[in-house]
Amino acid sequence: MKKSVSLLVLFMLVAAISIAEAGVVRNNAGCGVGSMIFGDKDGLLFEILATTTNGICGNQTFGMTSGTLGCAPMKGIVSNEKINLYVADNMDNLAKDIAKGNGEYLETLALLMNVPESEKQQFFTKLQSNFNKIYTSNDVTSTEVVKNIEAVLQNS
Amino acid sequence: MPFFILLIHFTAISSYHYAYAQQKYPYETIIDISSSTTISKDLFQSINIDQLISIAHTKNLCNTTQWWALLHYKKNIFGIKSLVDDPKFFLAPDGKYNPQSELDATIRYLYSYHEKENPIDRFMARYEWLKKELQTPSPYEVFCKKYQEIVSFKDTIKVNLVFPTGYINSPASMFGHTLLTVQSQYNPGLLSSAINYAANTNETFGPLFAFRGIFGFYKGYFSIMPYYMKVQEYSDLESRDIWEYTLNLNQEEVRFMLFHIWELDNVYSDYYFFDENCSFNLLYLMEVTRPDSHLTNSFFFWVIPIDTIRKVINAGFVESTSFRPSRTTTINYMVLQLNPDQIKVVKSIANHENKALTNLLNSSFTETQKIQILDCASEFIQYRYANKEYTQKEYQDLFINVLKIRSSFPQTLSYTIPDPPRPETGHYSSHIRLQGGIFDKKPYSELVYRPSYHDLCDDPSGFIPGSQIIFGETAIRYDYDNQKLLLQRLELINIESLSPINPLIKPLSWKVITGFDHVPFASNNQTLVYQLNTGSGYTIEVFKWLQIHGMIEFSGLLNNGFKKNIEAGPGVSTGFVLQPFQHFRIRGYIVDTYYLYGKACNFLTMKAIMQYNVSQRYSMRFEVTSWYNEQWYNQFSAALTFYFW
Repeated sequence: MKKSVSLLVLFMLVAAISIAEAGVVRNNAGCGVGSMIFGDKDGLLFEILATTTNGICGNQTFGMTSGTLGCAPMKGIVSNEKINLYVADNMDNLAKDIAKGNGEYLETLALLMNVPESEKQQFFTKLQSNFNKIYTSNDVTSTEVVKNIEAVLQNS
Repeated sequence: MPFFILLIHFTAISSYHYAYAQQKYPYETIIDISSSTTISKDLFQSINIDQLISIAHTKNLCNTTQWWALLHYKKNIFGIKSLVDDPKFFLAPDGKYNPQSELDATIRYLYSYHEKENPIDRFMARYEWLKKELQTPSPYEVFCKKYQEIVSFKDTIKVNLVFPTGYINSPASMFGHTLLTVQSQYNPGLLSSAINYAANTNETFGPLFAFRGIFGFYKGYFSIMPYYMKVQEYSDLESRDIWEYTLNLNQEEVRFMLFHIWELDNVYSDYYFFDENCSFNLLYLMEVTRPDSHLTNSFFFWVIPIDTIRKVINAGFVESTSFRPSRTTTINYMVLQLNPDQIKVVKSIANHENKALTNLLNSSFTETQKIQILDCASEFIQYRYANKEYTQKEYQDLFINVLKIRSSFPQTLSYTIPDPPRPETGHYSSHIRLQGGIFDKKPYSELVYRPSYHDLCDDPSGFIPGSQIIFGETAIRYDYDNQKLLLQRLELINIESLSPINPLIKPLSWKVITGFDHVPFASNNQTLVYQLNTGSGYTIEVFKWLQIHGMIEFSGLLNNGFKKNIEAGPGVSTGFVLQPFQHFRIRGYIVDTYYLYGKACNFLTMKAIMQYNVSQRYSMRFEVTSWYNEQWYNQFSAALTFYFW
């Protein structure tokens, strides 16, 4: 009967894990430096910086899930870092939308780049038709992607 | 300037064509307070704190719902207590237990002179409310930059309650999760800020994690991150559809919520898996805006995310709802649009087959068909990479090559995935079942209580399709023949996942059932047996309304009446789930187990359940069960079910 008691305890524990919600952070986004929690005395500010780290490092490439770069947070976001950050964090989905010529990730890029509603379609078509110039290699980095997008748009 | 970042986290900064122009943020007034500005003591001369406190006493402010909501006070049999556990959230030494002394201390703190700190920084929502109630602004107000940023932000801010549905393959998230997103026109959709409540732990050892979680050893904190991070996590990696409920808060209410979020920055509450969990704590952010909604009241023992959503909807907080399909849902939808030849091509592309892409370009498919193939293939490649079926290098090559070809077709296709039934329209998550039946020719009555959640015969609207999640189902039986009341069954866990395979995605079906049950074993004379039954296999959807499944099983039974105390062995099972018309579901299955260890005998179970789901509240079911072990045992029963919560 001892066995059954210990089994029971074990299963109760399993049950408990199961009832629990997903609200437990075990694997943080960001570079692993910034906890997702307001743990630092800088609070929210630190939080945002922590999640921007990947973008600042500029090394993001396809197939990277967040947290794999392992670089330290830097202070002082400059203006176009928002775009760098967004492109870095959404490399794969953005590339897919650019290739398809539509989609939420592409719409969001247009918003970040202040593309007026009337020019959006033109913007999408332009990126789609220049896909090869933007994604120049299979392991292109996000900073290169941003630069290439810029170049494609300026050559209009 | 954290708040500033919270809202304009992703403001458009550079203009089109990369002018890199710094954009002005949309504040009504110019905020120009350098952090070194000190406040003069003279400003406090005109404030009579004792008078303010006496106004508060006259108005009985400490017993208002607003004050209780702001401080997270709850009353139980032991007295009043705040659910916040961080000492720095309280100003009075007994503030956690005494609303009155905490209120007095708060007024003193907000309206008296402090050399170094700005009290409004710490307690913005408390201040905002007291200012109105006492009709006295504090001299600190104009010196608090964060406060000024929030009140002078011009653009309309919207808050959404977000519900990623359950993820049956992860025990910790079967019931789903809830979080909030905050958005303005500068950071809509993916760019909005996600506000999440979570326990702070890196514990990976399951049992310890569970133990600590149940007994509140973890500290829960609010955190913030770009919403797209959460979308990637839930939608792309975990195949969870996401529901977004836009709240109808007015701007004053939104501001008050932001003040309260700011108050809770870096403040912890002990995290309890069952009740004081993520969904529960999120309710406070909404409750403070409308304290009479009492969102956090009348829960006990456990809080399931969908129950909190229903509560928020019933309290009138929601103005609209939208659906964000997961990657798997998207692929399943795309597969339905493809013909078998197209699917073959998708597979050959994803399998790296030589010249698959060149062959596609030269094939006789129409342009639209080619695009459908490429769009589906790129999703499928991402799906397989998330399942670690490629190395990063393989994935990059495959993914980019597919996209390059896709980009050569200028045509765009939109995939409009229809919304499934909304989660809140599903049946309620607990139930009581009154059952009458005959076992082995003897009549009985049974009362069944299921604390949570859903079985395969319940109406599936609003739940994960093909899922069964039951915890703690207890059956008390009255046997008329012996005139005895007994515990018939205590099902600790009963989880089955029967998600059908399709040509591209082939999820494993599986089950884990464990608990105490009366198993009619000939040698055992009907005593309570502890049992474990596991299995895995596949499910096929023959028609939209018929799924069949087969599994390889392992079972164990524990009872000191057995020869060796344990009976254990492998088995096989097969069954079907049929929905001939709406609200009516039939399930049947056969399990054959061969108990190798122990008595070495064959044990057969056959069961058929028919259930008519009348509404969110009621259903009727009829069951037939037969067991064979040296002889046949039969049971028939009919039941009425009442769902509640």
